[in-house]
Amino acid sequence: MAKFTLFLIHGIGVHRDKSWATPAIEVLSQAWKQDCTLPTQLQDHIEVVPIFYDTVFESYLQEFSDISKAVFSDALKINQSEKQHIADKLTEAEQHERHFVLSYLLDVLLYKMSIVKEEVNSLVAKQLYERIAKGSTADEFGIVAHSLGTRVINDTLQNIITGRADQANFYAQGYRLKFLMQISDVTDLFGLPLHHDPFPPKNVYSRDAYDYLRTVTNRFDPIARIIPTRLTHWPEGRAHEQLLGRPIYKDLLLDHVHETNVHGLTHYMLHPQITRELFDLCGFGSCMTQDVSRIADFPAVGPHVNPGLRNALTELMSDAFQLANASWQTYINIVLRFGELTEQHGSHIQAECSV
Amino acid sequence: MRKIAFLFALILPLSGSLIVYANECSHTESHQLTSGLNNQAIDIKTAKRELQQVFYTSEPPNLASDQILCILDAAIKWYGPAEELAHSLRSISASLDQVESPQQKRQLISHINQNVMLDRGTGYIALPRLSEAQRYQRREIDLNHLLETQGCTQTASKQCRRSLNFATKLWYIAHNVRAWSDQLNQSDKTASVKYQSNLAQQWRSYRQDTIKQWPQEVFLNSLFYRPRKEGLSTPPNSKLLFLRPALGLSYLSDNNPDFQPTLNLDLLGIYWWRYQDNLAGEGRGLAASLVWDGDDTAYGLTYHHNPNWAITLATSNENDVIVSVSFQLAYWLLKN
Repeated sequence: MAKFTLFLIHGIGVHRDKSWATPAIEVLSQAWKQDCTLPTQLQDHIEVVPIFYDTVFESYLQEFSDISKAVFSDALKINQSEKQHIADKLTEAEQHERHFVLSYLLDVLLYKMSIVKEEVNSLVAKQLYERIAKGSTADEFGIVAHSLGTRVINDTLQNIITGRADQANFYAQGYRLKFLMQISDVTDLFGLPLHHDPFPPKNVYSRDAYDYLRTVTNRFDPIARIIPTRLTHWPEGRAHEQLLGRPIYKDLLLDHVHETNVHGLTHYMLHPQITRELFDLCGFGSCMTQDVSRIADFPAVGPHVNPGLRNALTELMSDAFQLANASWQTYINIVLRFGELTEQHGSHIQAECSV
Repeated sequence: MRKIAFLFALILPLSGSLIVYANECSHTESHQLTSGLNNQAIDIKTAKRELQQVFYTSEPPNLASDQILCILDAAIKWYGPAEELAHSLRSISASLDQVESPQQKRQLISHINQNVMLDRGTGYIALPRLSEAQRYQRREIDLNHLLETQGCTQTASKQCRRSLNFATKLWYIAHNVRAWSDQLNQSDKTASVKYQSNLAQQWRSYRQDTIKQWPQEVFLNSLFYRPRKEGLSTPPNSKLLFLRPALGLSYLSDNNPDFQPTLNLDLLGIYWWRYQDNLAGEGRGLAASLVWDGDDTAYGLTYHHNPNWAITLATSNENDVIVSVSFQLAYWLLKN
């Protein structure tokens, strides 16, 4: 059979091109080697296709910067060498040190703008369609979406599935999506703060946009905990159904801290429970080793974790549990503290490495 | 002969034709069921292992629709559900050749897409069955269970081999029937590629080729933008201008010197254009504006000739007249 096509959709942060997925693909390849009994490589069976849409956000941010410069550049008296120095500094900061709040929250704010959202949806739909239409309707496709990507893919599929067959509705052309795995699901974030979602992806669940849905959450990921998955638009009773011998819906709750960024896609993928579920959904469940000790023995705390970090994250967790009646200020505090902690942890790791 | 039998089966009343066709098929096509497949007796464990190998290693062969129907008809005697599967697939296969309208085509694709599935992970397939109300429904088949219920035990038998061969063929059938939509969707695929390319170009042009937006303008434009309720949306052909600052070179009738830089602010306005070949053409804009010279404020109207050239006419409370041009326009005027 043709290879299974697995689309990876990124979340918030800087993702300028397809190379954003290289670390995630590396983690998947390692997991395949450890868990799969087939003598062949992951790439022989699963083609991973990274999707990226961050270029739209970057373009808007660049536009805001350009337009401000255009207004004031004539008024500022700076000599050429100073201008170059500032430009170099800005470029460096832009590539390596985008502030946590900027990289995490600006993307969300921009995506809440319908003008930006529709362009992002159109860009993601184009990348999906270009790959899907290359294959046969008998081929298999699945999607792993992370963080903001969970909402982006739901909105995109909503637009695709309600569209015309000659306007890239691949469902109407005979294609199916086998599964959607939502890692750190923020689909319902966009109903906040007024509990009103102007563009809910309501047709995605009811029209069988995918055969199986998996939601994955880490108890120590504050972003996922802010908006617990509620399956708002899921048809009643559907969550307990089976299709072709599998449960249609599963919620996977993890509890590990191995990297600086607990919210990161690769951090989620380090857990064998996730990669095994993923390979199973791709159709390779029966090729996995029967030995599940890798899941049972998977350490909750990774070897490089600053001991203080886990305690701090536990505090965050207790905050997150009180979110049922929390105000916006609480949400913001949690996200900011999370950023602070991960930055501290990053410096700690860097210091250790330099020693 | 095969084609004649197939047409015959379609024309004759269904109840009688199935048997006639099945008999015809079993003589002429029996080799189809076993060709390329081993015929030795096997036990359940070996059968399941070999079935796994089919899922993971073999590329399903192309089966013509009449071959598929032959396989199912030949199995009717010992596998009851094969009859209703053959019946529904015969109906779909006949419809494939008779598609005339786009609506028929989409309906047929939808029937196949909704009811034909396969999952090598669980060893399940789904094929369509026609209900009494002549509607297609999905019939799920667990191929491993099929082996268990159709003669496979811990003792090797030829019956088990027959079941494995049939399960293998069912796997191939599900794969082939799903691919039937490939014959029908070519025109939609060609149109979709062009549609998406045009759409991407329009969105890029909306952002890059027209007036650039400040954050508050992105917010305001998003409030007023109404995406399509169905399908992907095209970008608007206008942008609202809101609290848009710019530096201008202004003529102030009551000042000495007469010309000086001012801060011009578009309070609220609109900039519009047309798309030609998916690219935003020349735009024009109008806005209610404010001009501030560092001391007094005047209110008036701004005309945007393009994203960079703007001219504002304003009056202050003392009825002084102010004519202000954008820096880029001033530069062009002075240069020429």
